[in-house]
Amino acid sequence: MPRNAIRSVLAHKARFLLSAAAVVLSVAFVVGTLLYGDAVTTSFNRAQARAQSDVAVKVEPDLRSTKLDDDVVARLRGLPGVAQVRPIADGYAFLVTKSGEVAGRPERAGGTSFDPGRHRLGAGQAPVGEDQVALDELTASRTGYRAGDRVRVIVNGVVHPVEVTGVFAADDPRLAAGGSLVAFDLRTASERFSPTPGGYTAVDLIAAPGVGQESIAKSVRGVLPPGFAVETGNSLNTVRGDDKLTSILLLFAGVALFVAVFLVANTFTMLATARARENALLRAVGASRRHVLRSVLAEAVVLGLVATVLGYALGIGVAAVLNSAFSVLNGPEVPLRVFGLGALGAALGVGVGVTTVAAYVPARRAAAVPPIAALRTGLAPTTKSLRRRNILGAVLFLLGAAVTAAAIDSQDLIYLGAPLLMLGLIVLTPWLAAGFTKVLRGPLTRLRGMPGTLAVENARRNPRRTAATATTLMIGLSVCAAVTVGISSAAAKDEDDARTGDNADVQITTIPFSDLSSGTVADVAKVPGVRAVSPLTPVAIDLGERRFLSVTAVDAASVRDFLPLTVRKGSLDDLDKGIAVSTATADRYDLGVGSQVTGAMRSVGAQDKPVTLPVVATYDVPESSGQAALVPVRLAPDTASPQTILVKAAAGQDPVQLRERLQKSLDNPVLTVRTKAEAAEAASSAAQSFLTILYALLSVSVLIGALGVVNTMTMSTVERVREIGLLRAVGLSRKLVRSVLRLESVVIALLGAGLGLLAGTGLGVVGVLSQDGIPVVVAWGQLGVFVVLTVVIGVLASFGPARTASRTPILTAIHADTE
Amino acid sequence: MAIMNEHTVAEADRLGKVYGDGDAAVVALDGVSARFGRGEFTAIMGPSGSGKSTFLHCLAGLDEPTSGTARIAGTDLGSLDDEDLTRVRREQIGFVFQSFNLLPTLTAWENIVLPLSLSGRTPEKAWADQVVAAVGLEDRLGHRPAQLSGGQQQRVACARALITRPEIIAADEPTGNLDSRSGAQILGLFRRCAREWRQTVLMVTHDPLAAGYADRVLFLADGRLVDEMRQPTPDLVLERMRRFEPQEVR
Ligand SMILES: Nc1ncnc2c1ncn2[C@@H]1O[C@H](COP(=O)(O)OP(=O)(O)OP(=O)(O)O)[C@@H](O)[C@H]1O
Ligand SMILES: [Mg+2]
Repeated sequence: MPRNAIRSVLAHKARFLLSAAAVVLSVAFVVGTLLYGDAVTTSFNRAQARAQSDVAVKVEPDLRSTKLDDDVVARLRGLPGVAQVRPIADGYAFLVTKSGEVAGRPERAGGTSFDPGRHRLGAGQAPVGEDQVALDELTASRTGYRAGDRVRVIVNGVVHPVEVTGVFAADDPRLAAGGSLVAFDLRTASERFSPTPGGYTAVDLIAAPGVGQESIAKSVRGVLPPGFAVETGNSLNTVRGDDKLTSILLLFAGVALFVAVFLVANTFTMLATARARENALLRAVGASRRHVLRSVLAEAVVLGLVATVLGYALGIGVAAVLNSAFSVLNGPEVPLRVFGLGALGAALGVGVGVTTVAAYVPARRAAAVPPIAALRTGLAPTTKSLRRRNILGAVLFLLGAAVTAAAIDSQDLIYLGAPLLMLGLIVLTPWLAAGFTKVLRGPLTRLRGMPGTLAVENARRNPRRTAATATTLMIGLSVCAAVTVGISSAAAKDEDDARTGDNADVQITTIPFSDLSSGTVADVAKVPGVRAVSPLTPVAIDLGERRFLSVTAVDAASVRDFLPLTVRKGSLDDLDKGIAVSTATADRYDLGVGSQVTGAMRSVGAQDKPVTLPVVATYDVPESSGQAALVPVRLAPDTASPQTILVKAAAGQDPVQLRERLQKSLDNPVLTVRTKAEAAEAASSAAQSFLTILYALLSVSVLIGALGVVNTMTMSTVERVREIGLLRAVGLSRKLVRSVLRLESVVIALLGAGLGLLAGTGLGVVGVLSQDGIPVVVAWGQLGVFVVLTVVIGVLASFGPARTASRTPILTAIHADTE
Repeated sequence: MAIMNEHTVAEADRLGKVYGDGDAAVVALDGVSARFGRGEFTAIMGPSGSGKSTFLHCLAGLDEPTSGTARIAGTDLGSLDDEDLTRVRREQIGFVFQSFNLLPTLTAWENIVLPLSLSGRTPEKAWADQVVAAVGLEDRLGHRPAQLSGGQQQRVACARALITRPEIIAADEPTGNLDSRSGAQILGLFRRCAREWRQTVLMVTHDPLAAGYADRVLFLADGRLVDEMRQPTPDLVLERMRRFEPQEVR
């Protein structure tokens, strides 16, 4: 059996070529994803270790208000079995490079307290006082800084000019993740990083030899009041890697795989038709059905194995490219583990499993061929009725549509509705194919004459095959359409929010993981060309009973210039003396002009401060800005960090010039300074680049879909070689033969694309509608591009088959044995 | 050098055809020359493998001879490119194959008018009716080939060959699969084509009865033209054919 299967696959290798290619691509996608995902996970694990290897127990404040200070440290010092106690003050510190940028990855830009136990000085000395720092050696070599250099370090949005006194080596997860480390002396670090005065962010305990981590943790818990998190080094360092990326990639690999199933199934179906005579002859001379079934399945296994091996090799390449092009963390490179057991298993499962499953139904059909078929000549159209299939499809589709429609109100239903709808559509495609081609016959005949009729007739002669082929394109393109609608809508909202959220001419924010300093507001105000400036500083008022009012602190004098507020009652002129609340907030907390808000003003890094504020105004505000309540900025503690600083330009001042001037005079690389137009553009371009990544992931599915069209065109022109010969004999020129096939191919491709784009757009629209407040944006241009792409796919797909078909000499064609 | 006279519609000038090369070379045609005049009905006969089909194919522009020339209405088919050759096939020649003549996706009517549709013409109603009536398919026009009998299919193919009023009708064993009544209908039709409509009919056949409908019979053997008979009768043809038999056994 295996020998026969191999021989048969080899004999039909041209016909299996594209199926194999599809399976190879899918396997490569899966394998590439798994291997790359593995490398990513490894590096994440390395980077997410939260304690150094020698730490037995780490103590951290659990609540914001818990004070981890020298008292606590002193208490820990005396514990039995503890060899060393290291108070630590950790936070974000951004080192500015010689070219004025932030060194290393901003999300891993670490600032810490220098400690000889953790930091091994290689050159220079430990930092002392506010003006000295030490740098880790990786960062030092990347930036070219050495001991003695003067550098700038940004902490909490404030630029500090300091001197580098030393370079050290450290075993710090932030460095493994491609970050940087700036060490201050303990006092300075505590001032800069601890939310409480004189406090630390953590205390590391090192065990004496022979003492277990658990026993230390136990005694630590015994001496500390509640409000502290006490964890052993081991438990801190057993982290789960972030598998989200792998799952997302696998999801797209799954789509590609699903498409490949159709291609493989289609190939085996066409082969079964082409070899019906052969199989019937086998049956006539005494082969059992099982024998025929098994021989076809054996071919599928052989095909699957070959594709798996090739796909695995390609997958390694894919992973290597991904790993070097998109190393998630640019720390020390993580080597690929090329032969993961999981990846091998998945490859075999996907490659062999998918081909065998896909070949099963066609194999059964091949086995069912009656022996008498061996004696029949001419085509024996197996037009088994589609009725039952259509009923099933219609039921699935309608059910899916109903559930999907319901998803507008109940978001999660889309996960049930969308698959049902797509499944129904796939089952219904033969019927739709018949209808679509019937409708097309008239117009195409009128447009293109006989070639038009022939093309349509060819496309409709076997609706199942046409449908299976169209499905390969439909699946990929439906996902494309759905994500396009979803993301364009979200992008439009982001862009709109950026445009209408405030009326500033220039907006200052920071790069991720950095803060704006409240002092920046004053710096901005000094820049010529600035008419007004206001921070938007988020604070909260604790109303008691676990109720918190989130409040934005603003410049009371200029707030009306910056925020699109419509005052309902009272006046914002008095904002300096009290609080203004949105009508929604007023309703929720039962407030009104004249009533009072009493509570504690809360902000990161500051003590709670009791306040009693009269409500001076109520206002309406568009959802895009959404300030629930406003207080004057003087009420916010100095340590509160603005989320955004809004700037209004003086009359006649060009915003772009002002932006440039601000950048120059603030001279702080963690700040992002943008004009309104630039902010809007940035909002939508972020979405665009996300969309581009999704398209790249989906392109594999669309490519396999395109291969499906090539596959069908190739096989059906081989089947029809006699007809093509006959057509040529009665007067169809080579050129027209090609154009008939091209038209047929485009019709099939358009059927798939049309259905996919319609369904995908529909699902995308529902998805958007189910999220409140996002306007539906259908990117017609983008969809148009997909249609054009489909036509191109159709034309290209027909190219090879049409060339071969039109070149075959008439008589060879007519006498060809196609059965 | 053969000189065309004005009545000659098709001409074979020392046509030769060799399949394959070296040891495996098969000489299918070995310098066959013949002329076919307007309104002439010629039957081509000979033992199996004697080159009849090859001859017909070369003359009808379906195959390229390896030597010699085939001319239709004075034009050397070898000098035409694909476009022109396609036009000749579509407009000047009607071809009937021994089997597999029809496109399964088109109805009988669409198959009949296929050569016209291909050049974007509409059939002339009166002529189309006459052709359909002549093949007796009035009530089968909407059927697909799969729904027609072998004889009916063959008649559809004949109707298609006639629809463009080609100067030449070339048929390769058109009655090979038919019962004698259906065969007689088609042969009668070919005779009318020659007599009434002055078309040149070339027909390959093994059947002496069929050859009896023709004006003359050409006999091929081993790729050569070995004999010619005018005003054939089935008996005379049968007599002549018998003489091939010893060679066939060889
Ligand atoms: N494509 C081909 N390749 C090789 N040899 C061929 C080919 N076609 C025909 N021949 C050979 O050429 C010779 C003539 O073939 P042809 O088909 O013209 O014979 P025929 O007279 O039509 O026979 P029949 O009465 O059996 O149809 C035969 O010997 C045949 O084997
Ligand atoms: Mg023959």
